[in-house]
Amino acid sequence: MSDTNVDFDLVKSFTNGDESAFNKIVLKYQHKIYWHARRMTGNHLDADEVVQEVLLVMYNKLKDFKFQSSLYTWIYRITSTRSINFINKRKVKQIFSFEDQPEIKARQDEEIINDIEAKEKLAKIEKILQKIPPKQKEVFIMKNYEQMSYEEIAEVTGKSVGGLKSNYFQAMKKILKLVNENE
Amino acid sequence: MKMNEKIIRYFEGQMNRSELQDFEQQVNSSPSLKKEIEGCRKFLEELSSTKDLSVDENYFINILPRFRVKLESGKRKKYYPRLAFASALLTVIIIFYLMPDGKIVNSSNTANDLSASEITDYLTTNSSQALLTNLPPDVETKYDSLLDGMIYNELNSDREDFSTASLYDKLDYNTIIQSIDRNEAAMVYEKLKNKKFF
Repeated sequence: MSDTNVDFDLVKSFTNGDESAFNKIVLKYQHKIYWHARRMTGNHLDADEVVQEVLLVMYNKLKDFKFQSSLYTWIYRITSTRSINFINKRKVKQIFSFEDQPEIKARQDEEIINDIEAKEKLAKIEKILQKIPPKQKEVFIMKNYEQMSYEEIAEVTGKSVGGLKSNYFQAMKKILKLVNENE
Repeated sequence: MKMNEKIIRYFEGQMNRSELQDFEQQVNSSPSLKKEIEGCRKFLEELSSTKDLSVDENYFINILPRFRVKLESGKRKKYYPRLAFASALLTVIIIFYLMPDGKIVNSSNTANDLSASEITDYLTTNSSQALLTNLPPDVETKYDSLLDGMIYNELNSDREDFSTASLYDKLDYNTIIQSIDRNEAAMVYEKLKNKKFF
């Protein structure tokens, strides 16, 4: 059975009231949801909040899912949108100082990565990526982590390929600048 | 083409053979450009190496149970925004129209409708907050007479005493002293002697 057919059956079962089908969908995609949210938000705790939010949206909206795209594309779109919303809210919170510095630091220190070296490497990358506007970061992450083509990214984000190329170019330009400043 | 665009095309693998040769020549002849390219290459390599990291799988094991708990508690505390809005609006309307003892005030028409005893009750409890402005003349008169009555009552006196009192206002000190006989003076002295002023 193909992956799409498996997803179709799971969604159908869930729509017919089988709660365990939803559990199976979550178990299948939770790593992908987490890692996209993590790369977008730049730390574990924020990613975790986004994950829980995404699951809630999935749970409430799965009944309306019509398979106009693959289930993964749909979940990826929800994760991306929720992550961007989360980042924007976080920015507002930081501007108005609802969160103080120790609180932000504590959030950044919470970690699920076991290897210290990998943790440091990821922290360095996340620090740079956090300085890029969310929409540009979204394209950069999809291209470099997920190896998605512009056409695939356009399907997820609903934006034109031209617009995505421009966003990617801007993201790369900023990364070049930030990397060289850090060197 | 700007250098940034060239660098991006280079990392994207979009350059053709001759473009690539030209670019590599440029990079080799410029130490700063070489450094820039190396920095970016290192960053992208590090990024690739963080694609499959070993993580604490307990976190992923717990995602679903935590979600189910949240879902259950969310179902129990279901929030009805329309109902909340309607009740808030109703509360505001009630507070706006009703005073603490349940009477509608601040309206001259309503004040006209109140009986003398109701106005007296109201003035007794709310005299400090009562707004007597913008009332029709007949209501003001009604209030005046009622207030006078309350003042007399409070002082254990009547309208006649006050007429006399206002008469004394017009007299000077010596005239008052002369009009008091010895007995009255003795009585005033005794009263003043026993009065606690402080």
